[in-house]
Amino acid sequence: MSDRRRINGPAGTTSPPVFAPYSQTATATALRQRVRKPNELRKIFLQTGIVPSASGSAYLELESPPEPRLSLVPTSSTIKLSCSVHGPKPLPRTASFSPNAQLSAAVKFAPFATRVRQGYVPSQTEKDLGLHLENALKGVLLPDRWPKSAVDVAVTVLEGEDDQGEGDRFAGLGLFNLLAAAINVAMAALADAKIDCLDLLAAGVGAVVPGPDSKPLRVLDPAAVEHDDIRSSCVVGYLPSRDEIVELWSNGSVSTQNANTSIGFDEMVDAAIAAARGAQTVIKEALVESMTRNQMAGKKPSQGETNDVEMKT
Amino acid sequence: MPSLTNSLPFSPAELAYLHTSLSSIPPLRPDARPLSTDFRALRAETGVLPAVNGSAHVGFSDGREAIVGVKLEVEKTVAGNRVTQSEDGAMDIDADGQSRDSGEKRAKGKPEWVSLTLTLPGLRDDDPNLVFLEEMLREPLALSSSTTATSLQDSLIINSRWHWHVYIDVLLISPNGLASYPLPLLSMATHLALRDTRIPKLKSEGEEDPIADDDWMASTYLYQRTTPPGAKPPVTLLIVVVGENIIFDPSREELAAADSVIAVSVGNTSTDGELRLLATRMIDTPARDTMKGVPLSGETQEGVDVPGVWRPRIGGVKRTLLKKVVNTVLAGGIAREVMSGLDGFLSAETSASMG
Repeated sequence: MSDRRRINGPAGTTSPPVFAPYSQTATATALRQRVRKPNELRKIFLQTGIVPSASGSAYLELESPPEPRLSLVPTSSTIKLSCSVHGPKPLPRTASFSPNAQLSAAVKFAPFATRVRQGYVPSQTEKDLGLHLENALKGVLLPDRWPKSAVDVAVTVLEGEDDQGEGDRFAGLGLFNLLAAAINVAMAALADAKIDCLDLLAAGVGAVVPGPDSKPLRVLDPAAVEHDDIRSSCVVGYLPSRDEIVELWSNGSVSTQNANTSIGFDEMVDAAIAAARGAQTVIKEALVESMTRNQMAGKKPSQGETNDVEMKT
Repeated sequence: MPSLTNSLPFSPAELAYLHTSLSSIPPLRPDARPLSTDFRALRAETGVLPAVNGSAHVGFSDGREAIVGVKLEVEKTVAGNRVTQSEDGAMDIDADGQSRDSGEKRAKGKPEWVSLTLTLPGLRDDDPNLVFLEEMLREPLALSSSTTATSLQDSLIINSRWHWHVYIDVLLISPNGLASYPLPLLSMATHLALRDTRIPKLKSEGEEDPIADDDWMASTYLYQRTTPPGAKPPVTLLIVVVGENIIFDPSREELAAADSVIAVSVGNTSTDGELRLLATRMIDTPARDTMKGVPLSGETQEGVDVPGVWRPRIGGVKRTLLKKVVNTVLAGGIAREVMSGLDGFLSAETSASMG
């Protein structure tokens, strides 16, 4: 399908240049290994209140330290997301009656979000991510507070995470990291909009990768370019104070629980929950900072009034 | 989800009755199935479409039917994927480490070589729920393969320049739309269609352009039917959590009152016969968008739950309950029973066609 309302780019996907392997490929591959500890997260930058016209908004960056570029193929594990929340607002007249708030979430990739340019027509990946995000946020919202209302959450991916050096399609771990970041930024935007929620929802990703001596190793917050082989991965939306899981999406081959030597599904979920707890502290600090900033802005008129009173005297 | 509620919705009294019955120990199911792990009866047949490489027709007892056709197409492998890279590594004479690396790395396919489309009459093609179902069916088929497990796309490699592309087209005929969540029906139909799929035998060898043999009887199965059994396509099970109970193969009434809905995909990706967990997803439960019940005695205090009055559950699933779901599927033997049931059906059909 072609979008008639826009001037589309070239039909079909653009192919990035494919370079011959470098003579020091082994060295470059070794440098792409994970330099973080297995339980260390990437640095998270989170700020709320960046879109004045929205009810709530947030911006999130998830970046890794810059590494030396030995190869010409740029591979990064940075995620930049922007989220805006509109509502609660009245439903359109044509919508059917509902006693609960209708939450709808959409994830949209900017055309420049990946190395291979994506068009404006929403792809299956975006709709799939949107439904995952919607499922997670519905678990944390109190829907009966706003009957006959709608809440729209829009997440824009400004920079996506490349997956395994091939930038043609998102698959597997890159999507999981994007979904976890989208859940975190949407939760911050919902809190910025002051919508009543059950808990501070946080999302994290855990994975099982071959560690030293080819034994399975459990890592938190894996990046797709840092691991050559990812056996299984899992993203979890987690409510910390209630210890409940509102969203679960796992991928990869997990053996049964009978085998004691390998890491099963339980440990992978626990790794993702540990990553979600780390992300929740960042969301909490960002919201406290935003609240403090709002209180400081609220104090200035009172100081002005004090000045007026002093001038009268 | 407007498409999930195009059937008649349940009243709060009905939902309270269903939830109370299902959350009791043992759960009382509305269609009188004795166990929480009982599956409904289904009719199945394979080889119903002569123009495709593999096909299956599966019908459930409540009138839903699914027809799956699998078609294979030869495609040119785009330069830059790992098959070419490993070949380039093997051709490099200078580095000795390259030959060791190319020996270790097996040729890997790409998940884009597996396409799955789902068509439901009356629903738009770009409906998000339809896309969600498509990706849920496609994801365990085309996992990013690791060193320990292979996927469907790894067996599609012809040589370093050509590969097969699998197109799986699913047609769902359902009077209830997506209300009774046809995921187990679609998953079993896709499983049977893929095991019925045959690949034409190629006359070409090595790096030549592929030329197929005209003799269709010389074709081989995409999933080898050998003894001992080889790899099998995955099967996705739908599980609902009501209270503390875990219920398999939920009907429409059980889905309407569920606290949470989880899809678990299991498959056999190697020759050791061990079933593995391939993918899990959590699905939005329809009970979240229902009207609360009003108690008979009028106004009550806020937050006090009156027994027998419907109130949709807020929040998620307990962590221990979620792990219990996965353990019941794998260690409890439900996945093995489902897979052996499908194996038994294929054996019966093969012997019927031979006899």
